[in-house]
Amino acid sequence: MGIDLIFKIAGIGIVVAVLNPILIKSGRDEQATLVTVAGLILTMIIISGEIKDLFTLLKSFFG
Amino acid sequence: MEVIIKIAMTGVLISILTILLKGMQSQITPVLVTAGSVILLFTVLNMVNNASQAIKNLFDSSELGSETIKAVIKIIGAAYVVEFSSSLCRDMGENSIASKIEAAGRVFIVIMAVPWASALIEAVKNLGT
Repeated sequence: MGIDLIFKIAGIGIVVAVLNPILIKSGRDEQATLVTVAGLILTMIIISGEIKDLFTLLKSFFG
Repeated sequence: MEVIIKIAMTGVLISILTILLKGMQSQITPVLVTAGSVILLFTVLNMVNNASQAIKNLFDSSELGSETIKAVIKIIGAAYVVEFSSSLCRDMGENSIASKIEAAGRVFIVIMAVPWASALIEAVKNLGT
C-alpha cells in the first residue's frame, strides 16, 4: 500500500521520461507522444483506485 | 513513535522523487505528488482509525447530544477532504480551482452549523423571558 505505489508511479515516470527523447531522436515523434499519453493514463488509473479507497475510508470513518 | 517517523520519511522520499521527475520534465510529477499525499493521508487516517473507538466512547460519555457530535465529526471529515483536494490543486498551480473547493467547503460547514445557530438564538430568547 505505501511506498511500493510511489515507486511504481515514479518508475513509470522515469521510463516514459527516458523513452521520450530516444523515440524523438530516432524520428518516431508520434510514438513518443503515444508513450507519454499511455504512461499518464496508466498512472491515473492507479491513482484513481487509491483515491477511491481513500474517500471510502474517509466516508466510513467520518460518517 | 514509529508511525511519525514512517510518515516523515515517506514525505521526504516523495519530495526527492518529485525533484527527480521534475528534472526529467516528465508530466507524471503531479500524479506522483497526488499519490504521495493520498498515502500520507491514508497513514494518518489509519492512525486515527485505531483510536476511533476510544474517541467515540469519550464523545458518548459527554452530555452533548449525539446529533451534534455526528455533525461535528462530519464537519471535521469535510475539512479533511477540502484541505486535501485544495492543497493538491494549489500544488499543481491551479489557485482558482483550489479557492473554489475551499469556498464549497465553507458553504457546507455553514449549512451544517445553521441548526446550532437557531438553537443558540432560541436559548438566548428563553433567557430573556
